[in-house]
Amino acid sequence: MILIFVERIYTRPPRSHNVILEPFDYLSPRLLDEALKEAEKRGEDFKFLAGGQSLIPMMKLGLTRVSCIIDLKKIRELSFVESSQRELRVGALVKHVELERSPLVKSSIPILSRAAGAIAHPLVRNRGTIGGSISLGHPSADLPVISLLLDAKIEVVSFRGNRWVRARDFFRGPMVTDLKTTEIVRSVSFTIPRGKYGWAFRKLVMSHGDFPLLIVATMLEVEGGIIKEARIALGGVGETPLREINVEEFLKDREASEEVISKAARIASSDYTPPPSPELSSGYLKRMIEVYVRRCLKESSWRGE
Amino acid sequence: MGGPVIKEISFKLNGRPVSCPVDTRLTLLDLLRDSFRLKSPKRGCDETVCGACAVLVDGRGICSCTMLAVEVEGSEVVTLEGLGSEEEPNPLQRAFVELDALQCGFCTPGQIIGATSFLLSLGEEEVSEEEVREAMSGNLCRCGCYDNIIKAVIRTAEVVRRGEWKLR
Repeated sequence: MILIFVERIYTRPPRSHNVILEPFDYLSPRLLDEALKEAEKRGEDFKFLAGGQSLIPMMKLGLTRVSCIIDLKKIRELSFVESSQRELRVGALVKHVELERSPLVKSSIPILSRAAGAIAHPLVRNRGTIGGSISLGHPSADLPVISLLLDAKIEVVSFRGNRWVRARDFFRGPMVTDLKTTEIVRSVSFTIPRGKYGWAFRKLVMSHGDFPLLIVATMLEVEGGIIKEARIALGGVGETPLREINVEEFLKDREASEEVISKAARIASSDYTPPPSPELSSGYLKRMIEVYVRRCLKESSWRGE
Repeated sequence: MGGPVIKEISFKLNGRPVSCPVDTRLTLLDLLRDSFRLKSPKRGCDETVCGACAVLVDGRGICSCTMLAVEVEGSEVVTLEGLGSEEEPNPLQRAFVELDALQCGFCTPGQIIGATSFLLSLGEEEVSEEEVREAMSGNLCRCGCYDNIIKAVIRTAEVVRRGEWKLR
């Protein structure tokens, strides 16, 4: 083992582990306007920081290099959960743990609370935020999948104003979103699902707390044994999280029977060829799409009845 | 690219107000271990997987390897050193010892912090084993003492629920 003697630790980090090499400036404005103005002034070479559960590892691995970090955590106005009759609006800085425990979220959109509580493990949930997760746009991340499932609208702001983007238009590619460098997600607005519906959320992970290899989220509205509306969102099967429109259309107005559900799951599986993970082959994952979609649909149908 | 950027930060560490200059590139783990010489947070995986570096920031357990030191400005940080002492271990620490919830001890500071974070969030209801397993899932133990760790946390949760130990 090589011991590196470091004289003044705060100016020279040790090199025995991953460290951020390039120096960067750090700002933590207290007002949203200040942050947006600063971003506008800088234009390119900076990153917004929220919970940091992806950005900081990426910086430590040298995958992201910037000369300035604008930390948003001190901006109080970005941390709120509010609901009206029809909508639940969640501020960008709401942490996963808060989303998981919020009575308002639990009662109005239980699947959102469930998904937030299934992200990684508690030490990550205590810090990660919904805005961060949505902005990163990882193709197999929990909240982007749920935002698609619920047809969420994402509020994007910059110094020049704000705009609302539908979740299905927001995710553009693997970790590519509709966000421009100087824009941030201010809030995410979910329409509270009405009527009698059942839901399910499942994911395939190699071990508890790992990054998911496959996420399936479903909602079924069943009336008198007939499926009135079906929603299926998938994560990890393509370049972005996506809605399985094909199967949704197949299920509409069909009987919520075991046979129909099995057929639907087979269609879902035939629609994708997921990339292999280091541990699992593409074929295995393809088969898992069928298994997980079937389980989710079944669970949704009995929850909805 | 310019030279290092140094920021002056102030925060509360184990109940004491502290201030120091930090390089913006440092993580909280670097700061605690190397500048403050607090050796309870361990560098395990260094990527938010193992929980050995866990510390409490404003009452919640987080991985200090994945937080910039500058981010703690104005926060309250508690490490294992701020909890109980060898002479006077707190009920959680006592339960760990009595129930043999450790072997090599490397992960134990993180386990105690993870458990404390969970205990701080407890409500009135009784806790289930499943709940405790989920709550402790961010802390890995390579010696495999999970069963005893879970038992120790459940026992302490009961103590907290009965109001015999006030954490706050």
